[in-house]
Parts: sequence; structure tokens; C-alpha cells
Amino acid sequence: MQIEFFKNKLMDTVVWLIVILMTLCCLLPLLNTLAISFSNNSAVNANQVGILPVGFTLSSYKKLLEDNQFWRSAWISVLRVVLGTGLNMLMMILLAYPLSKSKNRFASRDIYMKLVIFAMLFNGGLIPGYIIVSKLHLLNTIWALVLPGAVPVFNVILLMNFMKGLPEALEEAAVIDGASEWTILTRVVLPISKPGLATVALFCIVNHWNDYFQGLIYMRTPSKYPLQTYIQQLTIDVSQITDPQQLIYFMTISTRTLNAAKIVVATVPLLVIYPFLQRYFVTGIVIGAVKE
Amino acid sequence: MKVLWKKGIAAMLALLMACGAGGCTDSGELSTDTTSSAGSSAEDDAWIAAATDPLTPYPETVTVTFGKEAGRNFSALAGTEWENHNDDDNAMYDIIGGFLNIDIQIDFVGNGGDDYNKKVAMAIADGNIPDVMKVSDYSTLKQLVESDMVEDLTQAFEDCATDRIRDIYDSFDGRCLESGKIDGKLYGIPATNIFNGQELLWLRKDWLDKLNLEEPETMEDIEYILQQFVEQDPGNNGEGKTIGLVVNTGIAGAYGAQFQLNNIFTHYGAAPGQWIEKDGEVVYGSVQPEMKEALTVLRDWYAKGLIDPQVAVRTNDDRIAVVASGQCGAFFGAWWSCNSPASDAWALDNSVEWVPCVVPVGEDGKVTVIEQNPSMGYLVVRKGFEHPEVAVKLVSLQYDYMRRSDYVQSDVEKAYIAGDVACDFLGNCDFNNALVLCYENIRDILDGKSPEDATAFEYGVAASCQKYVDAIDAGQLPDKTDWSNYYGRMIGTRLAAEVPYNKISPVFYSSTDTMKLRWGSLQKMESEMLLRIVMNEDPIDSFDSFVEEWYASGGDTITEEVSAEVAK
Repeated sequence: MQIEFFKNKLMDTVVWLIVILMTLCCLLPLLNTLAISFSNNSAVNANQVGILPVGFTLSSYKKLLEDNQFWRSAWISVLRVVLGTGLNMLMMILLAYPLSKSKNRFASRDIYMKLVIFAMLFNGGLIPGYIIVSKLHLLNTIWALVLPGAVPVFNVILLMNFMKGLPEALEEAAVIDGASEWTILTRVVLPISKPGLATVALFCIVNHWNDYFQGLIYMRTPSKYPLQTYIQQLTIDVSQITDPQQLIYFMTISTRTLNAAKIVVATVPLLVIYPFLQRYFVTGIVIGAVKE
Repeated sequence: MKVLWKKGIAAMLALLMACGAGGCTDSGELSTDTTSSAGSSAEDDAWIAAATDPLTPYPETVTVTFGKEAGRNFSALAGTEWENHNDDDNAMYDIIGGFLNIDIQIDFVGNGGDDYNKKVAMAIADGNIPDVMKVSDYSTLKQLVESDMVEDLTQAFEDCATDRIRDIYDSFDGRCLESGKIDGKLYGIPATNIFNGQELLWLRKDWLDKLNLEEPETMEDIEYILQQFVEQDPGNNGEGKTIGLVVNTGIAGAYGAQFQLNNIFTHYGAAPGQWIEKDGEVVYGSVQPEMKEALTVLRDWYAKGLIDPQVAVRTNDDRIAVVASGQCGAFFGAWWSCNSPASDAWALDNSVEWVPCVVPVGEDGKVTVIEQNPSMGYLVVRKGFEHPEVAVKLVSLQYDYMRRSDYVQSDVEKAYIAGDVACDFLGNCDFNNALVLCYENIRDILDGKSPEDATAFEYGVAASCQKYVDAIDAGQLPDKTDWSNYYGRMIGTRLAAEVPYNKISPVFYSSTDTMKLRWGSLQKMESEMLLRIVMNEDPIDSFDSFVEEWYASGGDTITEEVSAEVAK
């Protein structure tokens, strides 16, 4: 008994330690960036800033307010999240719901399922993707960021599994009451799928907000870059630059503090959204995973 | 071609044909006939004039699409009425477009480096390049020429480059313009890469004074000073905590980078990372026996603790940090190293003083510098574009006419120059010794003169330097920007102007077919060798086995290819 108790205690301690360690691993870089954004640039260059600001100053944030491109990019990102997530949700619901039906009710389900999975595992690659977007005249428009990823297959499967787990009796009851398929979807299935929907919505939002690569490829001018692409372009490793004129420029501006401020501001929207969706988050995934 | 005809540039075409066909009279006569039969109206003359003169505008607005590297510093316009200007749309496009009567349309813009190169590669893969675009290296230019995607600009350059533009390219002894030619034809207008001055050894003056040391000249002097820095700990870092010389992981070989030891290698006659001519043959500098001498000295320094023991693991931010925090008082870097890390060290501790030294000098009292690659990319014109000369006209306009002293700048241009806002299509086109000219103008302005060709930018820097001088005179603390400007321009670039130096001129900067496959791994091999020998991980004689291995792993083929390229 005694030994068992200690064993448990020991295990608990180990687990706690691991969890704390991992939390710190995630948290410390964030705190460091936050501290840098409030610090004096010279102190930052001398690596004197840990998790507390050195030579506290708001000048980075003042400069940030004047940076038109930052706010332009932020607006593009917001637009992308709204349009992209909206489209994603529509596509996911319309695809996941029929796929969640059994083969008896949806005869060609398996074919569609295989197509969907095939598209998830294999894709045309960078250049063909670019050429398609270019030929459709989508380059440099918000649609180039929204349309290519309109059907997030992984999330579709997640949502499909969630819908599969819903009690069939509910649907039967609706049918007996004379509801059409549309009514069943909109009035019965969707309202009780909220946890699943919130989960995939969160994934989509995070995905759209954090993606920088599509912006880099499909936007033909930096003034149309979404926020993360804009930020990705700031964090240049100076030792990789070989053009002396550029080097001189980067050495003269030396803006690690300003860049940190930009990263902090760009992280805020997700930090704000997370708590609102988090309560659905855990239940959403768990329920989706368990079948009756 | 048909359209060219229609527009009546037949005369120019005839000239081209005449050149190509070695002065075939028939074709010459034929073209003259065509011109006269088409009726050389005033409009046709205007088109011809526009196509053959640097600054004559087109009679009708010509739309030109561009691929360009992102400009810089648009945020400097914040708070003015032009704060919404960016690379897609700005005042310079209107001004330039107004001069030449062209409508500037931006096809794509990318941040210099990876981002831009990717966009160019995409456009080439897509088979759809803009009328005028910049490519950042010779291999891309070559690829475009080989796939017949770009126009021959030889004639356009003949017609539309002004004298000053020619002078600029001449100041590189032909090395620059020549690099834009393939088989004798000019396909790319090169962007110039100006001389950056010698690599300087920046030393903490306050430490030297504290230890009663003179500024160094020879290798022995440098070694003694580093030893004193490390042993005497003038910065009170604590026993054994002072780093002698902070060095880049690459050790040497790149042009204009910080924390490199190129000066020490050239002191022993080596030319790391460069293709040079030696006894009439083209060879790669890093595999020459002279390297060994320099490496012997450096590994000795390392063993004595004079070189940063953590040289292998530091990132660039780390290297800057050890200097900025006062842990290290010596580093090599060009004149602009005053900005970072020198000014950071000063900003954190105002008692810090720096002195840049041109060392180590050889027997003739001079250091040897490796000349830079004179071209930083090329402006090319899409094959089939009706007005290929527009690229040259733009260069003449931007880098000659608009820089003349009698050119009247509008308010917005003044704001652009004052804020160092740039949105060039080419990047840069300036004299090889532009840095020295800039220094001389700033010096003259500070002396109360008004030099004829001084730009608003130079006046701005001079004003900043004056603020530094005033602050020092009044016993006040100068602003960090003013401090950097003064140290960089009045102290750093003065050395480039006043201290003579020897030159090593590399003969090849580009890439060959085998290099595309092997160069990456050869470079890795080289930098590992440098690092391991300097850090005493490998004996000095391992250099010889490196040389053998280098040649065996493709180095010999590449050397042959480079020799063949140079022989062209």
C-alpha cells in the first residue's frame, strides 16, 4: 500500500515535471519575444534580454503604428481568415455530412472517400499548383489564398467521424416528423455538432492566420502579403545575405525590437480566439474519436 | 518584329542587320527603301528618336510591365501625404513614367534575395516574364539567353546609355558591363556593386589606451594586442572571460561580410573563396598552398586563446552580442560595422571608444583587399518586347539625369531621398569608388564648402555628422544615429579614401554546369576544413588531403570549366 502510494506520487511528480518543462519550452520563447519588443535595441543586440525587458521603451510599438504595410497585411490576413474559414466550413459540412452516412444510404460513398483521401496524400506540387492559379488569373488576389485550400481534407475526416458518432435515433425521429434532408442537416445535425464544428473552425482559422507560404508564392508584390508572410520576410538571417548593399541596409536598421513587436501583435488575435473556442475543443476531438 | 516595322524603327533595324551581316549593303539599301516608301512622317521620326536617344520620351504612352526587387524604407514617409506609397504605386513611377511617357505596370515585386529569386524562377517556369525585370545572378541570365527569352540589348545600350552611365561602367575597368554579355552581345544591364572599402579591424580604443598600447600595423602587433586584451581584461569581464577576436563560422571567403579574416589570408598571399589567375592559370584560391601559411598562424592564435573558442557555434546575433556587451574588443568588418555592433557597445556604455585599423600591413605598408563582384544582378528585357531600349533609357534617366546637380527635384523626391526611400528597377548603378566620392562630399560639406555634385542624401549624413561634432564640442552625449554616421562616414570611409591598398582581382564570380551539382558540397568541405584546422581539431597537414579531395570531388572539372569560361 505504502509502496503503491509512493509509486503514484513519484509518477505524478514525473508527469508534472514533464508537463511543466514542456509548458516552459512553449512559453519562454514567447515571453522572450515580448520582453524584446519592450526593450532597448542595443540591449537586445547585446543579448541582455531574458524574460524581462531591459531599458523599457514603447518606441517599437510607436514605430509599429506608423508602419502602413504591417496594418495592410494584417487586414489581408483578417479578410483571408473570414473568407477562407467561411468557405472551409461550407465545404466541410457539405462534404462531411454525406460521407458520414453508411454505404446503404449513400451507395458511392467509398469512391468519394477514396478520392478525398487520395487528394490528401498526393498533390501536384508547387509549380503545377502555381501554374493553375496563374492560368485562372487568381494571382495577386485574395482568392489565391482562399480557393486552393478550400477543402481541408484532414478536417473533413475529423468532422465526418464526429457526425458518424451522433446518435442515429435523432435523425430517425426527424424523418418520422417529416423533415427533409436539408432540414435534418441544418436543424438537427449542425446544432448538435457544435463542438466538432468549433474544433475544425479553430483549425481553419489557425491555419489561415499562420500560413505564410501561399502568400509568398501567390502574391506578386509584398504590399499584398498577408501578415505572416510579411513577418516571415522580416526574420532574415543576416549571415545568409551576400549582397553587401542589403547587408549595409540591414545593419543600419537593426530592428530586432521592432520585429519582436510585430510578432507579438500578430499573435494577439489567436490568443484572443483560443479561449472562446477552447471549451469545445477537447470534447470536439474526443467525441469525434469514439463510436457507439 | 512586324510591329517594330510598323512603328518605323526600320532605320535602327537596318543598323542592327548591317552589324550582324557584316555590313551587307543590300539589306541596308532595302531597309532605307522601306522607310521611304512607308513615308517617314513626323510621327515615325518621333518613334525613332525615342528609340535611339537616352531621354527622348515616346510619342505615345507605352505600357511596360516590370519585375522588381522591393524598394526600401517606405515607412520613412509615414506622417507625410505620401505615406501610402509602396512598391506597387509610388511617386517615382509617375515621375519616371512622365519623363519617358511610359506607363509603369508592376507584374511582380519580391523582397531581395530568396523571395525575389523564387518569383523570377516561377515566372520563368510559367513562361511568362514581364517586359523588363531584374535577375539576380549570371546563371539566371544565361538560362534566359539560352532559352531565347530575352532581347539583345547591345544596340540599345549603344543608343541610349549616356556618357555618365558609360563612365560608371568604365570605372569598373570593363569588368561590370562585360559580365552582362554572352557571346559578345549584351543581354543584361548590370547593377553595379560598389567598392566597400577595406575590411577594417575594429578595436576598442579605450582598452588600448588603458593598456598603453599603440594602434597595430603588423600581424605581430595584432597578436600582441589580442593577447593583452585577453590577459589583462581591460573591460573587467572577469578572469578568462574576455574574447580576443570574434570570428565568423565561415572564417573567410565572402565579400563585405562581418567577422571574417580575409585580410589575414591576403596578407600571406592567399585568396580564399575566389577564382584568381596565378602564373597564367585560373585557379581556386582556397586550394592554394598560401592558405596553409595563414592557417598555421590562425591555429596558433586559437591555441593561445586569441580567437573566440566558441567560433563554431555562435550565430550572427551571438557574435554581435559579445561585441555589444563588451566581452570582446576586436573584430573585422567593413566601414558600416559602426552601426552594429560598434554603436550598440557604445550605446550601452558611453565610455566605449572604437578605432578602425587597416591591418595587417605587408612589407610595402599596405593591406591587400579582394575586389568585389562588380555586378549585383541584371536588368533584362523580354524577347519580343517592342521597345527593348526602355531598360537602358530608365538607367540613363535614374542614374544620370535625375542625379545631375541641375536636376530640379520635386518635394516628393526630396522626401524620398531624405528618407533613403528607394524603389529602383536596377538596384544600383554607381561608380566603383562611389563610397570615396560620398566621403569627400560629406567632408567638404562639413568643411563649409558646397560640393557641386553633392546629393541630398550626402547633405543629410553631413548634417547628422555635424550634430555629432556639435554634441561632442558641447560636452553632450550624441545621438546613436549621429554617432554611427560619424564613425561610419568620417572615420570608416575616410580610410577607404586615404589609406592605399593592394588589390586582388578575382577573374570569375559566376557558376558553371558542374558547379550547379557539386559546388554546395565542395563549399561545405571547404568551410569544415577551415574551421577544423583553425580550431586545432585537425593537423595543419590535413590541408593537403583536403586539396586532393577537393580536386577529386569535382574541383578539377570545375577548374577546367572556369578556365574555359575565363578564356572566352
